[in-house]
Amino acid sequence: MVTIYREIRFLTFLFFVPFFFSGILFAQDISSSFNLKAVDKPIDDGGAIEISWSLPKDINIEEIEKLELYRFDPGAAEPVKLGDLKPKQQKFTDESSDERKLRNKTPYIYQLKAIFKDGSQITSEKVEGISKIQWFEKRKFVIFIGTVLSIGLILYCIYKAKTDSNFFIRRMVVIDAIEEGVGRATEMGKPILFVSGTSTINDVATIAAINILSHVAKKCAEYGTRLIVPNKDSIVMTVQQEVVKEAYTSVGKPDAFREEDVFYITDDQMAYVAAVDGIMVREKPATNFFLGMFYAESLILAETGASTGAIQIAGTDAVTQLPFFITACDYTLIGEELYAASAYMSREPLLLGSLKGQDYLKFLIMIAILLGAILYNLGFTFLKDWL
Amino acid sequence: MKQKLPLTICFIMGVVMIIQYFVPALNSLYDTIRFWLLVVSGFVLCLGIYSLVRVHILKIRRKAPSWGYSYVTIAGLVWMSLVGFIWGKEEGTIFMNTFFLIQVPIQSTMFSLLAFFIASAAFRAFRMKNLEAGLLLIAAIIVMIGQVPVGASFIPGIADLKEWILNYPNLAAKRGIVIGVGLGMLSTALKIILGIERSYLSGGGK
Amino acid sequence: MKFFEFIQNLDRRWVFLLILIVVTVPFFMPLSLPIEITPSVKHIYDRVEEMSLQNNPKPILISADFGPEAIPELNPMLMALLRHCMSKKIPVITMTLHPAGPGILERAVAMVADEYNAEKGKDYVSLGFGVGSIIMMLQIGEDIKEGFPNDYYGNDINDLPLMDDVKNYDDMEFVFCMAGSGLYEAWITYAKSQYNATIATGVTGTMATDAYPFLQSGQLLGLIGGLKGAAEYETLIDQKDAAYRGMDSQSASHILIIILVILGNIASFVLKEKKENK
Repeated sequence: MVTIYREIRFLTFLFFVPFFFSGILFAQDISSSFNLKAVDKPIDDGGAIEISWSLPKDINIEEIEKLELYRFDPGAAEPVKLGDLKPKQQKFTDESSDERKLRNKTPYIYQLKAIFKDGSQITSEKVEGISKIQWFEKRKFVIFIGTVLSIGLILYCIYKAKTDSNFFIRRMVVIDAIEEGVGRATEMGKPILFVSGTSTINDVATIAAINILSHVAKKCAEYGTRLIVPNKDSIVMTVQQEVVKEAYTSVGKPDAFREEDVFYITDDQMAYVAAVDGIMVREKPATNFFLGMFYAESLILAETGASTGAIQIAGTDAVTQLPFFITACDYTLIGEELYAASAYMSREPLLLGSLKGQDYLKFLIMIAILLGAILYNLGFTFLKDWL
Repeated sequence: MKQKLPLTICFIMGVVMIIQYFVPALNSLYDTIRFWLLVVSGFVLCLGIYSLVRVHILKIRRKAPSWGYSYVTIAGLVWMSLVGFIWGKEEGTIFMNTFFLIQVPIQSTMFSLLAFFIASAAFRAFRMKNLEAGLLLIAAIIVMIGQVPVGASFIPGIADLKEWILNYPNLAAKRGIVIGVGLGMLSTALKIILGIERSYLSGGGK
Repeated sequence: MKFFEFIQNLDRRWVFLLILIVVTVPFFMPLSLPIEITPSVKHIYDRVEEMSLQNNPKPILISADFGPEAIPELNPMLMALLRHCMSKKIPVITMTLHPAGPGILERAVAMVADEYNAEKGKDYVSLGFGVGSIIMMLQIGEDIKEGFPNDYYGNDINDLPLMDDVKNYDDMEFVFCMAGSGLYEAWITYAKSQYNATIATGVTGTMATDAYPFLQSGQLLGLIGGLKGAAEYETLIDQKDAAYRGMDSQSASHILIIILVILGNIASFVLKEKKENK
């Protein structure tokens, strides 16, 4: 009896071994074909690993109920379930959160499990992933070079301007026009209207306009001409009040400053335009300045001003509004001439130095464009691909 | 101190954000700053409302010119806030009816003035005084005709010519101006970060 | 000669009157001329058509960043795109970065959703006004749900089925931003450059030429420019509405301006020659 039992046990063992090994072999075939990969998430501050996979080709995706992704933390007895995923999902990012942190330079093991609708399941092989901190974004290398070059060149020119103030900047016609405009208003006994754009103090054009306002205000203070400055933004109004007040103080006429002439109207674009049009029609200023950032209201302002017979000087970096100003105004500062004008009028070495730096940069860009165009047309695309 | 503190903050934040752009290791700092900016942006709205009310109340107190309209402004602000909070902002509420029956027509009317002003400006300014003005005039006519169905229907090829003008000469000029403007903005931003440009500090001087 | 002098000194109010007449008359006597479709508009249409062939298309993010002043030009293109998406059962997420935008957007969405029996939360989601403009664009690149914890109607964004699989720009097919200002440039600068989002834009006629550089460089998927662009889109989806009706007025006004410019130039030449002869 014992012998028969041993024979039965041996035969049973012999019967199941092939199935057992074939099962292992079969499982190894299925798990290796998951193609599971765990790589460090690129361009981040560490603490994240990207896991990707593709289901074995011999599995029908419709039969899968869900996928489960597990992580084996170092030293942990049990794996952590990262989540239930949809069958069609092919990637997952394991990121640090408030509940759990992924340590950098630490290997973590991942494994995927596919749960079928009939309750069966198969598991993938285990793969290791390590997260790392990236200290430099390589794809921005060219931008980095450009940034360093730009900042370096401008800083160099600013430094040179401190030591050598004989910088040549060509005179812009519009600078004469500004002085002519102020003079005209003084002779006619009419006020000057200064609109510094319809944008906020964040806008570079607004800051450039405020610089020019400072000089116009000084001229007005010297000649005793009234200066009206309506504003669309209350913060810009606050800044402009101080600028104009300081301008009047600098020429020794602080009492001549009228705070009610530098005022805030409304934030709404068209309501502001309507109000300024009303001021132009009622006050009939001799000279209108439209300097700063403008949007669709530019033509309405310029045409209304033209109908009152005022001399108009405009300047904006809003490319879409330039045609309207050029058509309707007597003088126009195009694009960066607005920034240049503020530097030119102040004659500050630092500002002139930065203007010089800009011009050098423009020269370098022109060379790059020409070189790129010639090389590209000759069939050499390396410059284009690299940049 | 009144000037030094904002200048210092401006410098530090400017440099940090430039470095952050290239260094992924500072992403979490970027997330924190972005979160704070979201909060600050919300407060800017409150600041705008406060500024509006303050300025108009001052105007009423001083009986400044057109001070009566300040009452209208404040009444409008109070009205829209109240009806919005009480009856909601869905379709058919007083809030939405006021918006679509008053604000929308008023603003659309102001914007529609552009059509008239463009016509009068074009008539006044498009004179063939020299070669450049002549080229401008011809290009403008081609684009205006090519842009509308009547032109494309009666003049074959005008739409393609218009597209060519917009895609080549127009684009070349625009790119030139945009590059110049971009460099100007870079330079001005750098001056602001370094504290050379201080006009935003309420005329704090150089 | 008196005629040329009259033209040379023409009061602008006569020009305004003529414009009023030529813009108004076509509404009563429509010409219904065919609209030529431009490639920039067709690209957007084709992308939506490709999406309609997919099983589970990703949603489109529509950002209507304009106020009442731009309604006449931008609302028709908004309606046309919404109609196209909802008719093809393409999910849509709407938002606005303009304070006056929510009312305009919600009216358009409600109108079109009603036409196509679209279900709120499932076929479309209205997120309302996003504070901070550029900050919001950056936030959407990281996690849209942190920027909009609730939708326009106050519902928790996690309760909306459409938003289940949507986290950032990677989960959206493309962003269609409509702006009457330069805000579309900010979408390109921040959403496209930093997060590689696909951007298409609809702008007013005056801004359309400004957007051409971005179109040519491939930074924009497509461009719908002004009322003409909206009319093209309406023609493509075969639902001619406000934009198409407006094209007759636009045609008439353009022709009038050209006639006035030519007359003005002729008058200038004639009077100049007369002066020189004297």
